[in-house]
Amino acid sequence: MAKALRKPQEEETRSYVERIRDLVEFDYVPAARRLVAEAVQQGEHDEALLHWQRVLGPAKKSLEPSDEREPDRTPEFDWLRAHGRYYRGEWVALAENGLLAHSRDVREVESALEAIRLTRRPLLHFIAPPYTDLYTEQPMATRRALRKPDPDTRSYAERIRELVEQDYVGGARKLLAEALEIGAPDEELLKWQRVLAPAVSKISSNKELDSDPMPDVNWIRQHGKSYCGQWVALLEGKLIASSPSLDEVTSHLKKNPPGRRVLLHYID
Amino acid sequence: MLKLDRVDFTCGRALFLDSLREFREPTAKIFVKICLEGRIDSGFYAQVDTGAAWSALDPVLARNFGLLGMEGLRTQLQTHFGILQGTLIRLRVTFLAKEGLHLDTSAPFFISPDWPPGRNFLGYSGLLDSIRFAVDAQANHFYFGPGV
Repeated sequence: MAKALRKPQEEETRSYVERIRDLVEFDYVPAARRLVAEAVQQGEHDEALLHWQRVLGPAKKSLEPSDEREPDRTPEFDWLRAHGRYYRGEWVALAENGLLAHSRDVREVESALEAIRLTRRPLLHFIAPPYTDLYTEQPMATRRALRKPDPDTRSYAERIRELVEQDYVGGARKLLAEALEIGAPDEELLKWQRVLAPAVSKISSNKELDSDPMPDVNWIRQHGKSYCGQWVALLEGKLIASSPSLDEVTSHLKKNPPGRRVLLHYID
Repeated sequence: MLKLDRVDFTCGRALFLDSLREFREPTAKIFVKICLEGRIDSGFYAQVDTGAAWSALDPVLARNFGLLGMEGLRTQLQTHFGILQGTLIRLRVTFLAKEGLHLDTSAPFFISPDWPPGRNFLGYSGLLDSIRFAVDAQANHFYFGPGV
């Protein structure tokens, strides 16, 4: 990536716009912004550059807060839950009394809405097609774990694991609740119960406030290059211990307690 | 602290980092300092990731904290680094406040020996969905409070 900002040995032949696009494509937004600023400062002002300047510019602050409130969308969400599966891969426009328009092309939906007298702003929503495995691009058996095959030979624990592995945490929790309601939870189900339980959060009894992170950050910026591949323990911008082994760093801290909270950080 | 309808919404505020060369992230992200398992004498940064179902912990830190031997559930998850085998373990987490009060909670963390060192993520399920939080991106403030 850094190619776009780095000055190559030979003369840079690519235009600013090409280099900016290169940075944007790799998510290097701040670097792209710097390059836009540099290009503008150099007097470049072709149309594509001005376009990038608009795209990468900071968001405009709204002039006045609006009194307009988003309506209660409960009817639209209820409709989506009940009927959404029949419109996968389509845009739908919904109002409180149901479906107004649908199409795979959002422009068709928009033009259909123009012909309808609306009492309130419709909800425009794209219903994603069946979830696809990122790696195989094959539809995933997302619902298989929730569905009961005939006859169902898999245990609840197996089905819960399948849902967890596909990030269907809500589904896994539902299935776990069903399994626990039926009774006789085995050891693995009890483990899933511990893992999937909602967390209980509370105010900590420890009162030692965290210190300003900037001295540590500045130390990493200044000295990080010399400690690549190492763990460092920092306290208020001072190096307390460093080693490629975190165990060595924490053992040093045990022998020489710094008395304050340290930052443990791995320098990649 | 932040209030909603005159009631406390959050209990603490941290200054988050949004970019640090060593985090190897091209664009700004939200890195907050946390402690694990009540070890309040040392903190480390973790990336807040509302798009991730699970939280993930650097295996080197996990080993150092004596977490690798803990009872958990063996599973495999699709991650930024491919499909990895690992264990889901519930851990105690403390969000560290620079102002206000720290927040103690617990969450399942995915720990895999194949996970690259120095990368910790705070995901949505069982962690971010169990607390209240708010971000002031202009001031790099991360507000947090107990869930209701």
